[in-house]
Amino acid sequence: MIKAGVWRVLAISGVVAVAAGCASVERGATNLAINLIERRIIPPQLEIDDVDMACRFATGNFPLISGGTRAFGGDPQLLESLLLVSSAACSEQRAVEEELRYLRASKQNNIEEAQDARIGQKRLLEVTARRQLRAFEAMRNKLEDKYNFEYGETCPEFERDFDEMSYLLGTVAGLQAVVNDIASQQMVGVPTDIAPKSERALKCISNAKWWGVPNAARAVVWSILPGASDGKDVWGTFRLSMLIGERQGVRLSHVMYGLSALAVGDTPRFRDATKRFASVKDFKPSQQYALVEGLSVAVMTNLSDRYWSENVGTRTPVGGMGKYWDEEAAMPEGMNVDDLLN
Amino acid sequence: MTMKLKAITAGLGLALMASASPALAKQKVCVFDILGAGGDVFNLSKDYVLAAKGFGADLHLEAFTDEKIASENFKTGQCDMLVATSFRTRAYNSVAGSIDALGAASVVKDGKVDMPLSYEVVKRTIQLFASEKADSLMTQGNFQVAGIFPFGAAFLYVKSRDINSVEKLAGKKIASFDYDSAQKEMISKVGASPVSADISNFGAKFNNGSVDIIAAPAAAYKPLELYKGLGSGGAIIRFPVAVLTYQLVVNKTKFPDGFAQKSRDYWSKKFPAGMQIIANAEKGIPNGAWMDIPAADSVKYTILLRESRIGLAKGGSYDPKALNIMKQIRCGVNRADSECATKTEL
Repeated sequence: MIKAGVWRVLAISGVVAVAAGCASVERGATNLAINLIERRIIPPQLEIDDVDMACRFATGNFPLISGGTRAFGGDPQLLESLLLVSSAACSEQRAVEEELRYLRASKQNNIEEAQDARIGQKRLLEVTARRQLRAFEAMRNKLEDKYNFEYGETCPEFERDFDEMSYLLGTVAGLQAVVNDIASQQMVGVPTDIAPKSERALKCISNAKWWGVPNAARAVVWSILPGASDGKDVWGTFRLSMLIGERQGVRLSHVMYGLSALAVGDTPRFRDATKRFASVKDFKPSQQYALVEGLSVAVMTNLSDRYWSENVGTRTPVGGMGKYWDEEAAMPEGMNVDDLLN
Repeated sequence: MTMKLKAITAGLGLALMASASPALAKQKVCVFDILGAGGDVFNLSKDYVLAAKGFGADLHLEAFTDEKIASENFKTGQCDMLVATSFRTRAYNSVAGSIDALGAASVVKDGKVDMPLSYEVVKRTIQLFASEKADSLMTQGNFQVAGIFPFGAAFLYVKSRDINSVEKLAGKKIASFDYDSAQKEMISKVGASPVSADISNFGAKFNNGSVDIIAAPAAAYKPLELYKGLGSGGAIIRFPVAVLTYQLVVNKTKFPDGFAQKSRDYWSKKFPAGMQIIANAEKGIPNGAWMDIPAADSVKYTILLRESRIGLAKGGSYDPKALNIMKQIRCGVNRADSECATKTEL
């Protein structure tokens, strides 16, 4: 009787141990697969400059990748963060289309159409802000856990570039979440202290290595947060960051410069951002980070389209980035109008 | 003769075209938003631009992160409308500018402040001022109030929970905005020392310990990281010193007749949208950061604020009529209050 009982206990313990072992093997295998994706599959994907393809892939496959890896005990938070950053580009693009519709309708005094487009824009910005906030939180949670540091207060010592890139892109997503939530009429409730925390967090990574973006993103915070610009050279920082980005083939700092100029209503500086973006001499887009450069082109085009639509009623003419309707075309050198017409 | 006829026909054609699609006059709007074109106020103003087309105005927004410059530009005619806090708009209409008078919206019931009822007082006042009958009150010279919306209650943030009574404010350093006479009056009344500050540095002064107390809305808590200044020993006193509002003021000569009243009605209906933003900010403050004050002290705060605002009204900072109206509205939502034994405040 006692013997049977012992056997039963042993049998149950065995099943539990095997099950636990299986779970642990499953978790290990899944995390190995995640690691493999991060090391081997993401880098070639970043070399594809097609933002539309990347964001649609991320939107369509997020549930499968996230759900599938989590179902087998994996921790896909960094992958999720990257997919959410990419997916947010899709919803943001749709929000911009609604915004352009609103601007055109407003210009034509078609009030109902414009109001409808504003509602559509806010809804899509809400979706975008949710994705960006989740991207930020997934990055912060995973990296704080992995490197045992406090985001925005202390710095991690990164082991690999993928983690560092996730830290940078997740942080930028956090800042975008704050901005887009406000524009959605605060439908998400994104914590606004992400802004000052991000500003400090960005000091942890090399500005020279990451296309000048860490300092450019800090300068965005300086330009909008009360008192944050004291003792800081906001516009000089953008200029230096843009130079670094131009040499490395990623013009994300230009986008941040343009965004900040628009936020403070500085039209000449906004025009300067687009002109500089469009006329970098011998510019070679980064091969390794072609997707990030592609994203920069898409966002800068959006900013320019907004400005054009508001003032002229159409988006930026094809090939017209950095050129404006009220600027006179310069006469070619040596050509004198008076001489030729008289 | 033919030429003359052509000219007349062309002139008539132009006149007809003009009457077929009446062009709206363009008005420039100076919008103060601490976050510039990316902030909440500017965002709400974009929706307003569309509605204003229906009232016959073609508004063009310009963002200002410095309220003083926005106000100066309005004063000098560089813009036709000003969107700013009542700290600045009070200069153009003292009646509407008295909504955020010290304690004028605070409702205390059974020794505890009732926040929903306090916001109800602001809502009713805004509704009243939005009505057509309030048009004369909302007009002073060429300036007319074209809208009021809530910005949130201002609370006292204190470095130490020991500062839990009116008496303990004495001798403490309190950040004071130079352009707001109400702050100076209250600080001197409680025997505290004012420390000159502005919107760009008062948060940092609290966080680095240069001042012991600041007055700020919940919206400042997260972006200025005021939890750093509170630390483990500080708190936010759950008693609104005032309920701040944003106001729109127009130069009425630049707008069609009746514009300001329609516009006030629009903003009155936007009250819930403003409240949602305020609720988000107040929800963002953890429960542990708040400090409720004893019933006896609520009474002392109420008296302190009442005496201060009456003093300020006598000095010309607030409009007595507005204070009397707000008292009636307070008594409308809280009839049991002892102050309701008399009809007027002063």
